[in-house]
Amino acid sequence: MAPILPSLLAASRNGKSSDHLRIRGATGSITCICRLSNELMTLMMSNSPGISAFPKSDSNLFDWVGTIEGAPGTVYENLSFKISIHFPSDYPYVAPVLRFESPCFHPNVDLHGNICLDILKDKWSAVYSVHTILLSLQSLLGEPNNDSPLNADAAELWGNEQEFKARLMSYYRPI
Amino acid sequence: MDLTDSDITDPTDFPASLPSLVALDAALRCAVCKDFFKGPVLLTCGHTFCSFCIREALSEHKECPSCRKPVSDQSLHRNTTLEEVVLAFLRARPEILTAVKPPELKRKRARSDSSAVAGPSVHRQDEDVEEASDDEVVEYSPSEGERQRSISPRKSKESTPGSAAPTSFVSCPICIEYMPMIELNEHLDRNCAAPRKKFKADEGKLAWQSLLNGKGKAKEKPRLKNGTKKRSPSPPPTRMVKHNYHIMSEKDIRALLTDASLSTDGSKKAMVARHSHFVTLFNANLDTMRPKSRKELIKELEAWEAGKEMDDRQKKKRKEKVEDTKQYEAANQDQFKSMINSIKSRPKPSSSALTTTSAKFALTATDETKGFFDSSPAPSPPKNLKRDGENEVIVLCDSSDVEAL
Repeated sequence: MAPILPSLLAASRNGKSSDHLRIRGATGSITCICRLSNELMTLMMSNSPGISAFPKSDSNLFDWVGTIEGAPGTVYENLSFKISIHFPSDYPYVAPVLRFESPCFHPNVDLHGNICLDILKDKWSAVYSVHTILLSLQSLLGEPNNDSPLNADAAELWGNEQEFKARLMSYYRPI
Repeated sequence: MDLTDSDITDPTDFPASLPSLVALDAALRCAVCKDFFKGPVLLTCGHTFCSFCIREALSEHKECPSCRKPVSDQSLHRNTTLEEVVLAFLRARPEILTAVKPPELKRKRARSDSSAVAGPSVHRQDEDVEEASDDEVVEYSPSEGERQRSISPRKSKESTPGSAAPTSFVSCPICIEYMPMIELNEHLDRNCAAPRKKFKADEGKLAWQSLLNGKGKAKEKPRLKNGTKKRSPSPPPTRMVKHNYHIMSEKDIRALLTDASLSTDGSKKAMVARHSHFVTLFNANLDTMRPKSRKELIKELEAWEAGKEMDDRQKKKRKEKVEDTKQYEAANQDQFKSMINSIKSRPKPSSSALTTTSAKFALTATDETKGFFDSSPAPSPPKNLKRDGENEVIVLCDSSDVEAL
């Protein structure tokens, strides 16, 4: 993952090597590309504990991989999860599609990794960014919305911390 | 189009040691596109966005993206003062960047300045940004003050070269003159002589025209026409309106598109999307000081549609499901067999339980895990079997558990 970063950084910084942005840029929306490369820069410059994300490949700015670490003090403490992020071409007007790539036992995450979070659906706003989404996902881990569970099992077990932790760990795979 | 000015800027261009400058840069950017405000408009709640950004966002949700207060696109007001502030900052930005550059870069720059001519080429990048929007303007009558301002900073830049991004600069291998990478070849062709200024300026403009319009010379005439247009005060063009598309027939929508001289290809859905996006582009364009030509707008519309199509195709691909699993299994039997064999032929890892899991997993491989196998490398060569074997088993268990989930 390391070699990708410098070249992308360079791409967003100086004009001449932004050719590969242009590959997709010829078809994708300009706003979207400009915004994504800006987000990448801000994400790398800000250091938020337990959150990171970057594009999967050098040539495609529209598919990212992110990682989230469970916040301290929650059952997810010290666990980290891989998340895939896909940006539609009309991002940021339309929400990106996020999925847990590593198994996550959680009331609002289904067996395929789909996430139920209001800001990713009807409560999406164009001012949200990858950074804010990952932050809210991180807090969702510790504070699930048990009223509308995607994983009923997990929602039921939530009250019983020990048992929940055991189940969580049986599914959990380190990245 | 903005893509041609290729240089994507962001607040972190300023050193982190000067947080106030980073904040200033960030404050002049739209919260939606994270770029400098283009045709900023004020909402009733007090927030400001680019005209295009807010119109596009409102077509999804009729509320302010920042505070969720209800907004209608009729209540948007141009924020011309902010636009002027942004333009002024954009002109000053390269100079500020030069002023706050790390000392070594500065020293280098200073040496090249004293040794040779300060080429006008050096400040091309930011000039280009303006030039790009200058060309082919439908109607733009700058106020007296504005016109003056747009001239004076350029003159002063002549004396402060090196306002562009530092990364694209190289030093000439012969005379050590510091210049943008793109200028180097020409500079060498001239035997390190100073560039001829007048010629260069024209050339730059032409190059930009050809980039923007796909042809260079042919643009000369229409530009003159526009030039005359600029002086005569033409009435402000009326805004286009979005219609209630879903109660309209396909024929009506086609007529709408023909009226706007847009393409009438595709399904009803595609046509509606095209018209409503063009309306957004058109109305947003009216909120800028330097509106683009209709041609450019149509180009942007086409680029947007192409992006959307690509997106749809990808979505379809992702949704493809194997309906008849038996048939799928039969069709891909060779692949499954070779996978099973490659696993069977491996030496046993530490625990026998693991092998059975992985073998069982390979046997039950369904369409869901197909992607995983496609992306996994070919069976490991016998040399580093031990290591690879171990890794693979771990991965396999991982996926099988996912499936068990």
